Amino acid sequence: MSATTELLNNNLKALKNWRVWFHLGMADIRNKFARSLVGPLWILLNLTLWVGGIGTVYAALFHQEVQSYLPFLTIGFVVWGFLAQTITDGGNAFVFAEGYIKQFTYPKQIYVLRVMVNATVPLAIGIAIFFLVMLIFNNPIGLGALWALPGLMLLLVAAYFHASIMAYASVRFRDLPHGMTSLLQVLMFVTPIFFPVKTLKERGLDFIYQLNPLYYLIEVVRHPLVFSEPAAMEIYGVTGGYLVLLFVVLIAVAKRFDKRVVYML
Amino acid sequence: MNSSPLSITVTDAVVRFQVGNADGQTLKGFLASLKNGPGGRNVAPFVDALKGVSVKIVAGERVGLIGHNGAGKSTLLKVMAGIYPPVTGTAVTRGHVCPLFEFATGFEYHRSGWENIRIRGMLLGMTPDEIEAKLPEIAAFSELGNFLDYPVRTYSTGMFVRLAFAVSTAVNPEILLLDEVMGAGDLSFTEKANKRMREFMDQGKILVFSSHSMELLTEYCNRTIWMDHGVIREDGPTADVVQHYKNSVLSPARV
Repeated sequence: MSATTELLNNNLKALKNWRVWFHLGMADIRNKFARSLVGPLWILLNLTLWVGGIGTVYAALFHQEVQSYLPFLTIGFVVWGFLAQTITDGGNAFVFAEGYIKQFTYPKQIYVLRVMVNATVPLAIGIAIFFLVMLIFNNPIGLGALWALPGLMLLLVAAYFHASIMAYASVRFRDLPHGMTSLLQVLMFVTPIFFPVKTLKERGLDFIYQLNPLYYLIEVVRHPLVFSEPAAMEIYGVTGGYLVLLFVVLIAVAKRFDKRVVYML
Repeated sequence: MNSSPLSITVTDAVVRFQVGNADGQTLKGFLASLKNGPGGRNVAPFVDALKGVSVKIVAGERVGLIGHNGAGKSTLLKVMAGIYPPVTGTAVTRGHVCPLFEFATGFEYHRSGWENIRIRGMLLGMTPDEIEAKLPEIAAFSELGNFLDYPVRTYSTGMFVRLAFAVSTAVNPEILLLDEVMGAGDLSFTEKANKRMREFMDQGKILVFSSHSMELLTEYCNRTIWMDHGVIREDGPTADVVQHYKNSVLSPARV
């Protein structure tokens, strides 16, 4: 059995044990809000405060209409949060599971899937809030919004690849999660989340988003939801290419580190 | 459940640990090693915990592992469990493995005892229904009472051991791999634990356990493997191997 098939088998085996990682991930969420008065409602409160506060000020700053700017900001920020969380938490997936990896025999991938569960809950809540914002401002939502579903699939797969690569690489380089946290903080302000991409285009700064794969991952979900139509072909093309690239990197990293993870923990 | 017969086959397994210099773990150390090249001061030395070990164990066998501390007993058990993949050589284990290696790690410290029972049960391969059915029995055996409602970070080491032991011995084992667990917990618990452990070991279709207790080995194992500095020194009937081991330990010219 080649190393690649073995890896794919381990991933499938991990997926099949969905009860385990689903349970672990949900336990993490409950744990995060243990003994808090409103619990996971904090996800909603945080987002509402954040979008309400930043949204109204930035709408004025970027000369946007609040009614179209707030939904745009909400969904962009929610998807960004999901991407950032899966990258940084993915980096700790194996490191934090040391006690489990060293004594139980499940494929390690369940600890990456646990991180995915942990990040998908806020994503789902965030999308619900997005629809709420749309309703509040009386923005039309058409059937075309369903184009967000394939977009979400692409987003989830990309996030799983991100998290897996980070999980392996961070066992070897413990600085990586810290480095990525800093990098993501900067990227958040450079990626078209707070401002529409046309602001960059008008100033001939296209390269800023063109070089940023995270922009495309946001756009496959954001564009259909905001405009009830599929995103531009170019967006899907770049996203697909990026997924292939991630897959190749993941296989290379996993081949190199999969068997060594337990020794490096 | 599994149509193929249960077996453990380890062939020429070498297990290598990186020791010493922790710089290899950081980006700085990695960059330095690129600059200095291999053989630079940041290249960590290795220790071979297993130096080419071959073992074949089939259904129905009860195998003991003896040897000094650091001889490779625990490492061999973890290779059999599939936790340590050998650097060279192979390890193939057919059947559902129930590992009992560490009782003081692998907890969710902020979750309650109940929740930790569920998580540990799942990681050992129990289904949620099985776990719910066994919860009262596990709780009773652990003797933790109201403490099960508290987060396990409030537990003492002894309480961790009781909790983990109660869960681990509640599964139906096919292949049972045990690492020095008999000394677990406080004294009254140990007596009870011994009894439960014996019942548990009787269920396993393959049993491999490491122990320093010659009595236990003689009682349980028809075959014993003597590990010494990462190689198998002797593999044969328990009575013979234990006798030779005792002689070696007692003799002044011991290795």
